[in-house]
Amino acid sequence: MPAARRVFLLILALLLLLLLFAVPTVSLAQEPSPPSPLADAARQLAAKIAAALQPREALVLTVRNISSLNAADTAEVRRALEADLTARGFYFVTGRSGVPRAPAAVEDAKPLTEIRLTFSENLEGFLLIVDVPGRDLALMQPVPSRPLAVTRSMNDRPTVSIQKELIWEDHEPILDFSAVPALPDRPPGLLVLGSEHVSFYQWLEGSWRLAGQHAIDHARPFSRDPRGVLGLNDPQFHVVLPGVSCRGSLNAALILRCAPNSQPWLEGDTHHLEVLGQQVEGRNYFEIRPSEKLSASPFQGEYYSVVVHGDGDDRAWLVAQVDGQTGLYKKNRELLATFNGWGSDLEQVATGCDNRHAVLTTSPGDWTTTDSVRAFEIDGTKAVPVSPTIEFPGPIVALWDNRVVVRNLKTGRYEAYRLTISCGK
Amino acid sequence: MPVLFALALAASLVATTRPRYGGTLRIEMRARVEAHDPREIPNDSFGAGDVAAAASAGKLVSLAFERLVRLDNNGQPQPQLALSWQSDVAKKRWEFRLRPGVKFHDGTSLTPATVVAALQRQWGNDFLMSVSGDALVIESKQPQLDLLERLATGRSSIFTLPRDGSGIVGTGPFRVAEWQPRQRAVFAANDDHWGGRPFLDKIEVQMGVNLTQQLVDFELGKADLIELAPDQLRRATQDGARIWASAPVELLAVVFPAEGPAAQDARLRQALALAVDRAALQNVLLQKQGEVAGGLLPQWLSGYAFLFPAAADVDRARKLIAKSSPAPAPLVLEYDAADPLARAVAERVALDTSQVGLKLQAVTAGPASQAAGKLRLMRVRLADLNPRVALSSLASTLSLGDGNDAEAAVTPEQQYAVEKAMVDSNRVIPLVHIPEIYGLSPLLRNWMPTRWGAWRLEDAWLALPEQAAPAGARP
Repeated sequence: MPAARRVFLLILALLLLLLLFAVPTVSLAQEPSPPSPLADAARQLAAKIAAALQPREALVLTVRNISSLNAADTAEVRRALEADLTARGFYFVTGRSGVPRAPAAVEDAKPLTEIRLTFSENLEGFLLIVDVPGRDLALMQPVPSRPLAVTRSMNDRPTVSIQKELIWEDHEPILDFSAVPALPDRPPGLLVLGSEHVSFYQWLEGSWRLAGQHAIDHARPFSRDPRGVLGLNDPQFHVVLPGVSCRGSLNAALILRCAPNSQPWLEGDTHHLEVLGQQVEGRNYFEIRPSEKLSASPFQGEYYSVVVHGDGDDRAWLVAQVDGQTGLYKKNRELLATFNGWGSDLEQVATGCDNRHAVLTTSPGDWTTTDSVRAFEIDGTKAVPVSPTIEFPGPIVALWDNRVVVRNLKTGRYEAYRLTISCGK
Repeated sequence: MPVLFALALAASLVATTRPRYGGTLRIEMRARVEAHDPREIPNDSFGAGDVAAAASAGKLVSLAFERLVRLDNNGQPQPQLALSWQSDVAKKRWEFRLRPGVKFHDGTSLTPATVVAALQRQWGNDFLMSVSGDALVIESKQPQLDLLERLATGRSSIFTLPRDGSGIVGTGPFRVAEWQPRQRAVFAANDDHWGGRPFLDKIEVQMGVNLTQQLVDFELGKADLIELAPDQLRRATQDGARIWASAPVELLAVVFPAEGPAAQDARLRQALALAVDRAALQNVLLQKQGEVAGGLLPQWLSGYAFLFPAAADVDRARKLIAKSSPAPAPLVLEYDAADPLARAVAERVALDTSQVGLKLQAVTAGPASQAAGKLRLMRVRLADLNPRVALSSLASTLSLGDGNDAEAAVTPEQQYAVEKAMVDSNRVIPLVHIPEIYGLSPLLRNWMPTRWGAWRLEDAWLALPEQAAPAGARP
């Protein structure tokens, strides 16, 4: 094989590898570890302590946590504080009756000083406080920002395995998102649809950077519970929002052109474009209105989401209705079954188990409660759970295919997750 | 109660995550609010009545009027009518860009000029305000570190006064549909709100309803959202109500007079501070709501409140009284007659002080200024979410100085030092920090107030099953 051809094949293989791994790397996990604000705060507090106490004092450190910091965080602070003070010449003993870690001579020479470290928090964030009993001394160090915990869940041996991966988070509402694979001349990226704009981020020099942002013009206010979808056909993409549709491109820069749109949304299985739902203006639900064209439609009325299930004579619609019930309808609006205890978002996904499909459902609740996703297979008129329940730290505000958007109840931030669904053997 | 049980059952049948539109939320409150004009929000001062009126007026005003900035649950400024802002390094010049497409309830558009006019009517000439293109500029000779927080308060509401004299209007998610001063208000959904139409069709507010009647109405299915006193919690819970309590937002404290023997006797003041069993107040009278107060600011706001000792020390208090010569004269503690909780606390304080040999008589008082020589049980609401501003305001309200020291305290350490000096004087004896407590109908969803109790009813909705509501209970 000629050398040039070998080089070409090698480059091609590398490109394929790059493409293969580009999408999974669009996650927070790719970011290098940032400097810990907790450890920094501990070091600053140590400097204050060193300035307030006598040099080379022997210290007994007692710790209590009245904040929402977890044990790992408090341990990190304690380690950083002890290390910094030790470096400054102070000595620690483990407790009044504990084994001394300082030379005995030092402890003999000076009385022990108890310093009490309290992990506290106020409206703005965490606060490290050290006070010394018997002395009118209280030293405080705010922690600039709240550490964010990224949670992941794995399932052990389910029929269908669902893994969730945190992709992005933002203060502003996220309606939908799409990972943008890397190309030889383009780093990995992420398209994020908000209620007011589309943003394009790229992974450059070890961090996510805003590469472009485009406002979405719309004449009428959206619903308070806005819904929108984003579809990527790289480098083109499209956005559908109530009354507005946009076409965009990622070629050189982010380009977006929006126009009023009164066409119905396409719902459910995109291979069967039979569900034509119209989002009701200013509302968060869709409606299928009676018409001759849809006279045989399995369902007519208001709904939050719908999936098309089965083939041929077994084809049925699973509809999350605005009355809170989920109905299974066959043609001519025959109600086969009603499922209670589900939320208002449904999606159909391939499970990887013998070409079978499952329906992802959210759980009931409101915006004050956490939410979850679970996969069910529809067997006749029964819904059989085929996956464990995957918990999220807040209400799910969007479920599109394998993309989930959650409003984290603790942080108030919107979090975009990607679900990986596979057959759990 | 059968009605509430039926409502709870009906609500349980509605399993949905996405909000539903429609319905009327019925609220009852003690306060009698005179006007929905943000310029007329009353100052809170002495008793629970004043505190409740000021807080309730602010809540009602916020339904119809918005500000440039709102505070999120961590007290951080977030865009409301202003979409973005920037300041110079000195924080003396601030520029705000307004959210496009915002309309007042009379259909006129929000402009920088209307914002300037509204703020000038509330702030006077504290700042130089001008319009620069499509932006609003606020300038001051002094650095304005807290300008965003100030813009987020009810006294920075944005309004316009239509030329037809139809009355003040705002841009809020609800518009005022009916207003009977001190009695009743009806708010209707603003279909054109920039953030989307609220889910509720209407909010009806009945004012001047005492707490006992509120609970009865709640049990009968005539109200969806009521205020609760701590001693009503057990009954409300047994009746199926959902209980929600804010973070503690009010301070209940004994305030010594500026003059008289008690004011001069530091030992007496210290003894009284040591005699009160705050834990009993919190456990029994507050039914474990709120928190004991050793300091002026609550823990959730300052982060350092736990450093202030709050435990009773009866032996030490006795010794301090025993050392007094001559024996201290009996004290008189005034409390607000209209506030049952204040009465219970005052009587408990009298009991505690008697245990250490100090005579104290609890008597009712009107809202008049503090009678000479008498102690006063005061209920003060936190004026701000910034600890520095809140402390300064408390200092002024409680006659603990002019608040300048607190104003200058920027770091938590400095604020602690200022607060400690105030507390150590024992001129004010903090007792407990009190939350707002509500009883919620099982039908009410997305009840997501801020942790300090500001309503967010634009996102609330009612899980009204089509046929499950009891006949006659709901319009």
